Amino acid sequence: MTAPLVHPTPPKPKSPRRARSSRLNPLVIGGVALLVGMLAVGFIAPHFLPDPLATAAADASQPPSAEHWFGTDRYGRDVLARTIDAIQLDLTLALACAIAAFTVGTVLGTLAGFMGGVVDEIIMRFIDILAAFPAFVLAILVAFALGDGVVFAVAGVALAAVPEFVRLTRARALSIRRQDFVLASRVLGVRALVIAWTHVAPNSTGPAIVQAAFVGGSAILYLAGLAFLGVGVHPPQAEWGVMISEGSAEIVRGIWWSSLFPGLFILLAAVGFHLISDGMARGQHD
Amino acid sequence: MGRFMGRRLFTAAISILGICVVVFFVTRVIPGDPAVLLAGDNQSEEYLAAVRARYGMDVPLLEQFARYLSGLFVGDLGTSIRTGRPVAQEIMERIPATAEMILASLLFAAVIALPLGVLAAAKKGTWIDALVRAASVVASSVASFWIALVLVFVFTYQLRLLPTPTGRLPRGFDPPPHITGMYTVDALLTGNFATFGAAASMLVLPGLTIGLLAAGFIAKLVRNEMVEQLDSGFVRMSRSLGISKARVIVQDGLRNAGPPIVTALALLVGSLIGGAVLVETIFAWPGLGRYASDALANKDLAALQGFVLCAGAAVVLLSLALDLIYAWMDPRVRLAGARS
Repeated sequence: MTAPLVHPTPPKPKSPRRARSSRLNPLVIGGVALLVGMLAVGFIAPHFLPDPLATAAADASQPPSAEHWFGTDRYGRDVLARTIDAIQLDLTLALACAIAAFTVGTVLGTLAGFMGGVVDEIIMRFIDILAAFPAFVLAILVAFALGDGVVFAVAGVALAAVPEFVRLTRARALSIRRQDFVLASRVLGVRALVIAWTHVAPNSTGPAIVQAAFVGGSAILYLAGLAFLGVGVHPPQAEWGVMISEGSAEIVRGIWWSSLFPGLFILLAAVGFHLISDGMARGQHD
Repeated sequence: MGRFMGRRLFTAAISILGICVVVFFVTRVIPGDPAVLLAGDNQSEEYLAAVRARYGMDVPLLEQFARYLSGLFVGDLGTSIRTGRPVAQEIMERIPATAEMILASLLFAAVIALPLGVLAAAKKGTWIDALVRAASVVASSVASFWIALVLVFVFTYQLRLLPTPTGRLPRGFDPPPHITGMYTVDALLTGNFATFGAAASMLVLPGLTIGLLAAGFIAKLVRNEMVEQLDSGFVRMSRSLGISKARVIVQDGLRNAGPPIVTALALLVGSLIGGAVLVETIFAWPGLGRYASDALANKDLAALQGFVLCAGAAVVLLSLALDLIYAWMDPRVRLAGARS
């Protein structure tokens, strides 16, 4: 079936109810199921797997077998155990990035949009400058400047994601501050910050939630990328970026399993987040 | 036009100044002593003082910033502690390698993504649309450094179609005479086809890696822009006049979807430069990205600052150039700019 190019009548205006109900779109369910499934495996499976840090020189760089489903790396560690062990860490860090960026971004965006004037001007000029940097480049700079550590890598990735949240929330806040219920609160003498917190913020976060899911996905990629460069999470910790980095030197010798599997898990996790974002965006726009 | 250009140039200059401020202060004001960052922990106080003096960190912060800015004006980005050479010079030498890789990747991305995006928009709501969207989600979820390794494994180890990734030319080839600094282009310009083939064989995988990432983004963008255009009044008009769908897509759809797509390219190129840090490291590609990862590994502050500054400035200048071109081509853009 092809969509008709000619509409006999203009499309019906979308009701807010429809937007809300379609948040439970199959993509969102699929994405959530994928992430929850991964987390469940990440919590339960390590009890049945070898120690992800246990080395065995005799077993180094063995291809996948019945004993080691994903093979072993060059220190003889079980790749399956390490890949599974990294789920909790990688997903937690990605969530931390998304939550931090969401919180900072929506607070700043609400303030800018609702207060207007000088506050708006200062916040937005600063955000414009941050947004000029490519996200991964800014994350590298911040992680480098703050010093080496997981928290700093998270801070760098989160900071790089803040501008988009501010812009989205500010645009919504600008339109909401002119609505009647906000005006009514003002007339009743409610303080501006209270109005911002109780009326403007909850109503301006819709697109920001879509963005948060998207940021979760890119944070997985950025954090693994930083770890690959030796910033943030370090060996011997089981982390997908670290594992790919450790396996990268061996791939030209045909040892593919030590970097293939962690990369597949990065893909799965990022797809999970992006499906949620994509599904919610459709609920809000289409 | 003059007024629009003036305004746009002014905002671009402010953005670049802002980038300088961020690049400088992020590495100085942040808690912790930058001298300790450079020298490492557990150094004697005398050694730290020497490091501070060497990097001009022994004067007040604002004076340091003034020195940094005045240095930038004459093209001084500081000296790399790894090589002892001026950062500005090293970066200039490395720009062609990265530019070549990113141009190649945009070429790959355009060839893959443009038809897919248009097709998805034309078949909106069908399984084709769903498939393209799924492919674009997957493409934006792949770790660039991982897909790079997978491609290396398949094409150089398994199929042995391409040489081992050891930089811009395989062993035994000399770089072509320097014209643009992009080996493939220079080799073609000087008619050296053997070198062109060799350089192209090294360029394919890094270009394809970055190109795949860009393709996901471009396919989604093209699809959404085209859907909007195909839904518009003038498309309905053309269709009702009996003009074929294919012709309407090219003539009305693509031409109108073009500007927003090309504008988004400036941001895309920025993120590709970010991706280059990882991908160039894997392909031993001697460009800006490799420079940044070397700087990171060696705590080479001036080199990293120089890279970040260039990446930020590249985005600002590219979007400035694109905006000016549009304003020149399309009077609506400059009038809208003047009103707002």
